[in-house]
Amino acid sequence: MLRGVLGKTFRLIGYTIQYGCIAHCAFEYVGGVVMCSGPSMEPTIHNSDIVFAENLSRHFYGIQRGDIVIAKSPSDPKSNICKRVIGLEGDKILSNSPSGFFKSHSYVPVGHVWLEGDNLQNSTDSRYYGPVPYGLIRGRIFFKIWPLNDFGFLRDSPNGHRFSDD
Amino acid sequence: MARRITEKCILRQDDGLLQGPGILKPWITYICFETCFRCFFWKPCNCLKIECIIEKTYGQWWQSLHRTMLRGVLGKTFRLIGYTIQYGCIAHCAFEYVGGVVMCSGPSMEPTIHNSDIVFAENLSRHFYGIQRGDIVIAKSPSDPKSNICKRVIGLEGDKILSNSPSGFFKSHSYVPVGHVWLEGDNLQNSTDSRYYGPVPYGLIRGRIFFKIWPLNDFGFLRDSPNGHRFSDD
Repeated sequence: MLRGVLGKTFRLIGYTIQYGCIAHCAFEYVGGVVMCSGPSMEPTIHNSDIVFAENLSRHFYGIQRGDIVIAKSPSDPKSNICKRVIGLEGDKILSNSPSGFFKSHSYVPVGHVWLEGDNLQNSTDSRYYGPVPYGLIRGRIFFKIWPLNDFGFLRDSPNGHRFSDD
Repeated sequence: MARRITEKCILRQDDGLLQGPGILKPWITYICFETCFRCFFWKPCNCLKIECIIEKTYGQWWQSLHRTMLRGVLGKTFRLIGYTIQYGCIAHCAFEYVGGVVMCSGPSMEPTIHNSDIVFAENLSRHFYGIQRGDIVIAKSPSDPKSNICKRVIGLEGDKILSNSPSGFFKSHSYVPVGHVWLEGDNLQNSTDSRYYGPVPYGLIRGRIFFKIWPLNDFGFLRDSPNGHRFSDD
């Protein structure tokens, strides 16, 4: 009797591990549904929006300028951030000083990307913690599914003038 | 589980004798001759005019026809692919969440780890945030996301790192930012590490090396850093 219960328990654990692993690999290598929080990507993505993220671009190194990516936060490895890619490695990033008196620029190092939120006034991004290593990127957001009045592919950046790679 | 044969289902044997209505036996594969690509196993066919042929009594000829049925080949292929995906996923999760065997290359961790040494790496410390000073970790390289680096953790977030200028005239120090670690190789003269590319975000760490298994004359747990004086967090 005990052996039957043990056998059933082990079989249940075995199936759980099996399908858990398959689900985990599906989420990691293909993509999944993500809920974003925070105001840093308004008006493209609002707080509590639900989006589709795909992880294939990251593994095939197909992330491009203008993509919205999910990445591990450089300042907090336990949380994720959701920003737009402004510059790839080698791009020149203009940083505006508050006084506007002089503009300096820097280059994005090899293996890094420059991330910025669409809501420039209310976003901690690469302007705060610097370029982000490519290895921290986890996936690319390409489709919003909630709220339904905003269903569909995501818009381009409202700050279009930021994409310069001269 | 036995199913009843209806009048519409005619069982035929190779000597021409009709048999039944009766009970479909579950250990015999029946083939519906007219809908031979649909009723493949012993499910009763719902078609009106069928001739269910008992495969066993027709012997070799039906068995060879059975084997060449397209759906059988497809079924076996899909089953193989399914098993491959299943065990591939389990193996991948085992390597990612528990650990695995890694071969290190490069001279940057001598004398602790030499080129082409094989070591055990465990990934549990990373997920439970248990990486400590003095641990040897594998991390994704900040300058090349396709390759991994293998260095020792010198400082955690908030630690003060002394950077020696070449002239020795003045020493400056910096603090490791939140969420980052400072990595250095044991072979300080021949290692590109955080002294070159700065502190590394914790999120790039993939695992912790704790045991060497090859070469056998160096089998065992890894030694402490030969540069012991570097661990200061005052």
